[in-house]
Amino acid sequence: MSRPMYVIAASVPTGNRIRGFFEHGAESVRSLLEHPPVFRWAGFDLTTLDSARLIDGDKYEVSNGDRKKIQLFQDGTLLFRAAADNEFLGWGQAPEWFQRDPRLNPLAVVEANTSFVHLYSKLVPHLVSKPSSVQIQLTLRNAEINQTRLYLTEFYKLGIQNIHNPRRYLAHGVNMEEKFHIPVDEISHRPNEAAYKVVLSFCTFFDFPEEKIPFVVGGNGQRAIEPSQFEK
Amino acid sequence: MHSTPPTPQTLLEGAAMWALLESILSSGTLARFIGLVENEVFEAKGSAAYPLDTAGNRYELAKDVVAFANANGGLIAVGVRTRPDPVHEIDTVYELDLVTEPAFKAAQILGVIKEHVYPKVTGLQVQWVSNNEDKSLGVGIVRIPAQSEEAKPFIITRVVEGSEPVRPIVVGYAIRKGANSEPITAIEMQQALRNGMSPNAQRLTRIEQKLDTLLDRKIDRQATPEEDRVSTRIEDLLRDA
Repeated sequence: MSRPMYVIAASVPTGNRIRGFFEHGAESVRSLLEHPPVFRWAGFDLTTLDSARLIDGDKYEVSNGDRKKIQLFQDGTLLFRAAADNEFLGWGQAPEWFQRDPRLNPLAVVEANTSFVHLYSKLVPHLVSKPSSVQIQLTLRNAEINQTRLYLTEFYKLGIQNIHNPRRYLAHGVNMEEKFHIPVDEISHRPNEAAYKVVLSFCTFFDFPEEKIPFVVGGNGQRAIEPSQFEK
Repeated sequence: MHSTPPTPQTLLEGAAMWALLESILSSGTLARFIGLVENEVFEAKGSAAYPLDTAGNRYELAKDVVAFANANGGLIAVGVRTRPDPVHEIDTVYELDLVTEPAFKAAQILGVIKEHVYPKVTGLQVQWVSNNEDKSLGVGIVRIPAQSEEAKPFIITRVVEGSEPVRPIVVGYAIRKGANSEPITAIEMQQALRNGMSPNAQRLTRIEQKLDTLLDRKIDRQATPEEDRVSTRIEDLLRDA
């Protein structure tokens, strides 16, 4: 059985590269991968507790089993692969439960995507030339288990177990991708607004209504994710 | 809503049927569906049509849409029941079986069609229309406008065998013939390809070309080297899982 997987990628036009890619130290990109920005302790973020490995001479990699894997290429491409099942983005059930009820955790979805954007915002200053925009590519693969599609629900503060028959927003495909550009200034200086666009795009995989996206502040055209609202 | 078995009141075809259907929908007097017969532009479905939870049901939805797109377009109404008329041997709407708006999952149906039908159906609309007599109930509508000949053939990109999805290198082709959505058989497709029958041969040649396109994963656009670079890395990362 192919496991549900989610990959988010950020890239800049060919020809760019990361200055000081091979350097060590607290200010290096290597250190950023090992200590990515977090919003709270033990959140659904990009922390892997791993040491960055240089692979093929042009990319660093950190991972936490198959749950999370992050790759950073010398040309400024950042990839984050997350298990879209009970091990990370899915509700924290045992594997056999998730196979019967493949529900994604809206908090994990929002926090993981927001964490990725914040990490890339820290990488942008390391690029040799500043691009005008960053390409974001979202890929959701194998979004079906035993002919049952992965699904999202709203975020329920009191816990979904207290909600009778919560509405399910099913993945409308098995293998999906979305691609778009975000201005680099937005990623650098307003990462929470950029993160909102990423989360919104992810939600289109499930036809999930925009107005139900949790942890959002702001009005029309100025919406942003508010990480302080992530709760344990 | 029930009624005595009607005599097919309206044996209309093509443009006349389209006009009548649009008139019914814009008026909201959905009882006017009763007595309509299914034909090459009209398909009636009960309220339980197109549950999207299995590959087989999603295939059925895609097949109906593809069949209309490959013909002259059509309209699928979900929330009306038919039965064969014994005299005219055609399926006729005999009662309403209306649905609530939440029960007709328009966004999901649209998503399934996008995922299962290639190329994109221009002007496709999926919506719910309320009934004047009780606005909490209505019919779900899938409107497939007539498509340009250049866009055809439309194909089903995911087919099923039994209840199992078949690998996506196998595609389906269906066309509306009268009141039925008929898949073309493999033998018919092979003969048309071999014999070069026009216009079917032209359409099947386009099927071949579009299959090649799908298999090369170059749908709708030419990938730039930059897109290839990132996409290759994503595929490598997924394979590594």
